[in-house]
Amino acid sequence: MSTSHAKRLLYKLFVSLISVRVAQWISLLPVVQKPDYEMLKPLLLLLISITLAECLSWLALGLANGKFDKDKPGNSCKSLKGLTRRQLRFCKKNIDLMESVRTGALAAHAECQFQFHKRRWNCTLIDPVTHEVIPDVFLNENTRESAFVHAISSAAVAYKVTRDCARGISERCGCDYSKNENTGKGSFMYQGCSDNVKYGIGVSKEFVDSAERRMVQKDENGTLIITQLTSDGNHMINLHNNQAGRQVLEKSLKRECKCHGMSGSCEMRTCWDSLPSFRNIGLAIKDKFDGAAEVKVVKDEGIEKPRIVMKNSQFKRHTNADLVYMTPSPDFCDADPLRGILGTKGRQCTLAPNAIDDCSLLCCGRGYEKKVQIVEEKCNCKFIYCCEVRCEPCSKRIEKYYCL
Amino acid sequence: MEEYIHDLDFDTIEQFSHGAPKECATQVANSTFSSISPLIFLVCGFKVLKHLALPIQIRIFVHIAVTIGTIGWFTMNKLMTIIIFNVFSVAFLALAHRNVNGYVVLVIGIIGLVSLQLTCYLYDFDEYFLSIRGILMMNIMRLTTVAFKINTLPSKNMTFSQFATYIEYIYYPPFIIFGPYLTYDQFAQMLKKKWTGYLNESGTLLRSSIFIVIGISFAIFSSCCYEVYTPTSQFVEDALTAMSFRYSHYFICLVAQAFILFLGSDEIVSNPLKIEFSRSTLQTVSEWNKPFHTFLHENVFQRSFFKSTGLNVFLTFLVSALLHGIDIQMTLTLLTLGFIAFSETVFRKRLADRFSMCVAAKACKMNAGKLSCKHRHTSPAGIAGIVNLLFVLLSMYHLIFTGMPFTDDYSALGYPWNHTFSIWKTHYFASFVISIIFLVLSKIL
Repeated sequence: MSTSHAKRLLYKLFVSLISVRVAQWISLLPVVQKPDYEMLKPLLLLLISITLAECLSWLALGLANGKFDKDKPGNSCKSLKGLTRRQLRFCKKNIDLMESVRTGALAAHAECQFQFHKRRWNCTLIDPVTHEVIPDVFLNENTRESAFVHAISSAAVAYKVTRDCARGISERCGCDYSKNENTGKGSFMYQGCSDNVKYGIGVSKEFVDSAERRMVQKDENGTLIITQLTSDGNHMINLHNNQAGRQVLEKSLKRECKCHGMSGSCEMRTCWDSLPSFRNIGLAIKDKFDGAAEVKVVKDEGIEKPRIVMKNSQFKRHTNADLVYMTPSPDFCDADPLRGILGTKGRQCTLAPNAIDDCSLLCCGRGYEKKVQIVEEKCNCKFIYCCEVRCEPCSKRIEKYYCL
Repeated sequence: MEEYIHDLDFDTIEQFSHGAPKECATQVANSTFSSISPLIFLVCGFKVLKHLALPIQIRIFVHIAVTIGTIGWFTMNKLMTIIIFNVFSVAFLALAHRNVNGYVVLVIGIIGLVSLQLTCYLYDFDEYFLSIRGILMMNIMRLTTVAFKINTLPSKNMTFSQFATYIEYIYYPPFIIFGPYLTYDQFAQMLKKKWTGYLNESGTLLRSSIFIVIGISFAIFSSCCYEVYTPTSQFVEDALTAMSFRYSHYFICLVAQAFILFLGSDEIVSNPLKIEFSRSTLQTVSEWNKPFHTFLHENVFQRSFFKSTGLNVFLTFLVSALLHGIDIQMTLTLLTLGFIAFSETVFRKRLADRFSMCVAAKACKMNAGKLSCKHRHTSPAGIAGIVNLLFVLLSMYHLIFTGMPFTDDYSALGYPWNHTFSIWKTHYFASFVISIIFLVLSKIL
């Protein structure tokens, strides 16, 4: 279901509710029937989803065509789909970083699909036809999957900006020389150019976190206060998971060194901090996904800022780099378009007994069908002097299994 | 891009994380240049000082002060290193002044170095020792040289100015960190060299700059070879590890070469080409670090402590190993190199005599356009050329074999005792086997 379609339904709901109120006020109640609230439940759910779906709708940037015109940032940014107002402002101010953000969105989506391609939920986030983020309602219910998507997307933006900075793509960032101070043992001769992760993380915070609905505002004294808390603390969880993704990135920074000196001594070391491939970051976040903590958001009396606490207090408290979720995930077996769940019908599976995409597991016990494909291939190729390669046509039988 | 999303070719995801070689190269170039730039500054300063012709009485104080500053700038635990360096220098200069034998100075120097290493080991300070080992090693070599020099002086009474020249030799700031070690005479000759005019000096400056650029290129190759090329087999990985170690050495040697060239010396520190395409392992060990080789050759090997050449070779390489402190990997590598060079030299000498070919470890010398040896097969295009080419290839393999234990993982902390064997085991101790075969063949032929 696209966002525009959802907005139309929302508009109908809004009009119907207003008309009921107006009818009550002008005492025409006997004439106008009460709306059926049970019937409107999916629409109410949608109402929430539209605002929440915005949190991730910027991921559609990955499919944006064309280059960003630095001379006309306004036009370039307006043509982008899925940006919130604050993100649009960010885009206009930082048009030179938008290419990094775009590749970040693409990498996040691709990595998510790689990490989940054998699972029941295969991380289908972007509608291939409309190029918009599918309003996956379950992703806004603070499930584990939602935590993963938030973490990987914020990490991807930080990663791409960092990498592009080190390559000198942006004039505003370059090497991180802050690590060059002689901070004691082991860093005595380090004067290298490091990947500027701090800058990348800063950009990610600014861009990705601003997709969340504004929760934090400045009071008269300029201190940050929480002005609004949604009933389930969704945003707080999302912001935590965004931050967790960036922390995983920061921790994965590895220092590589090479000793130089007389006959194998180590008078001088050339070192540089570099980021591993994004696949490693994806794997690390996937590990966090597997060990995600179930939490709840509580608001203490007298304290403005709500807290995230473990649902089961017996477990060890989560750290800032751990993913957290509030709602257990659905089983993703059956399609539920209203919740953005596509189901596993028609998904390809394997017959390997312990595989994640094993048919019995992936098809949720519904069974599977075998499709046999005959593929023409060249075989028994021979080199004939000189100079020709002759092959025989062979037909190869390929068996594929699909969930019913 | 859409295709990419829909077709999900996961291999292409990695395309987003390329660019590592370029990053590595720029970072290492940046890092090495900023590290050696204070030394370049020092060299330029001392070039000016040399031509200012200040009296030695003032000069040595400048030298001592700047040396202390240089050590403080370049080493970790600055104060401790300054104290250690000065304790070594003052104590051994005092011994030399009392005309103590050079060998005694060398032995006490090695004992001092090993004691320091053990103390560092006890306090879990191995990394610190490795960071100053090269500085102390060269200092001990210079102090030994001074002792030998004073031993040979006819007069036992030295003036302050005479002794000050030795202090200047010990405390010469541009050579403290990366060397090179120069003999006292080479050093004195360098200082004596007069200004040769702007044109010549500009040429020298250009040559020195080229050495620095080539040196930094070696540092880049040394650090980034894995980023450029991912090894496809264990052998290639071993070859890259050995190459990385050699290239790091070339970087240090070429930087040192640039410094002495600019300051007025024509000595060769190391010629990478003569090591990479070495005629024999004997050539490899003598070209690896020429000043170091000169020191050991003159002060240990040529003194012939034993009648047997083999034992003299063993002693020379043992002293060389001990100058690195107690370093099992370095000792094993150096003794192995000694054994390989010895057996190959013996075998090739036998081969040259038996088949009358110019294939000995050292090439037949040319005297007035004629070869000094009387071999029948002398042409590089003939059988002698082919045999020598095979030995060049063998030397290349020995370079891999002896260099491959120097992996990066332990380079800053020291290698565990079994590390060398475990790595050589993967090559079935091939260089040893070849060398033993050579020894046996030299007896049979």
